[in-house]
Amino acid sequence: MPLSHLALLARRLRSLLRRRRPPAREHPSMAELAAYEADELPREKEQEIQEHFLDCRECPEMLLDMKSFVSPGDGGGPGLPDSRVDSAWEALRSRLEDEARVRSFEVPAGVERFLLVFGPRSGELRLRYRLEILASHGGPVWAVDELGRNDAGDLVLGLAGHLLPEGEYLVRLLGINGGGAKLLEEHPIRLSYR
Amino acid sequence: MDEEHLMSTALDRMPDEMRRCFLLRFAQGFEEGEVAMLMKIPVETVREHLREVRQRLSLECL
Repeated sequence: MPLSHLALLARRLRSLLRRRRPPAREHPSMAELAAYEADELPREKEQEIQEHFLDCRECPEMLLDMKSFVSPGDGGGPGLPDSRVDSAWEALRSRLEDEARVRSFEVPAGVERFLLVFGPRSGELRLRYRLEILASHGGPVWAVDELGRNDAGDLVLGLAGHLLPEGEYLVRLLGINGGGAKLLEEHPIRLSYR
Repeated sequence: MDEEHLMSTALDRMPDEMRRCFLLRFAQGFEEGEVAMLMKIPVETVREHLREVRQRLSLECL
């Protein structure tokens, strides 16, 4: 069969798959992609990530970019052009920075309660979320179940100042599906009262 | 049976690794070397899968 015919079939299949498959699932985290590359994931999780690659353009490109930085020139092909390397690095750095950046929040001193407005990166809508706040040493400080997104797609959480002294925390967002919870995102934050 | 249903059936009958190689190559448009890296298998295996897919689709869809 000519290659062009095969490509035509594939395009039809892609259209068919879009109708058959559920909408795009949440992206694996950078840590999961790195673990996938390092063969550190169980087979079931590897299969899940490979299936995700069929629906998502961003994640497989991210993995290829990661591999090109770790071992440039591997894979039997010519090296990447500078412009491709630059844009890949910008995308990778942006995503790494987004996951690792410590966001600072200043709360007016004396305020008893305040709202944390959290805009999840994940595009997938889930019925319920669990948001956890951990101390920098990892101990639980606060957790709220049954959170739902508002009309703007944000999660809004009311917090009491006396339970959250100044310091650094880790905010973890988990999606609830059936009886299980899956970690979707985690972000370090720094809280101060001025 | 329409062509879409035949293609869908052909996909369902493929082993997972073969189906993923095929869709990464032609539905997602990655090069064979990139498919090999994404699937963590030798590029020769990717080529074998794609050859097999061509044969299967020729038999099942055409």
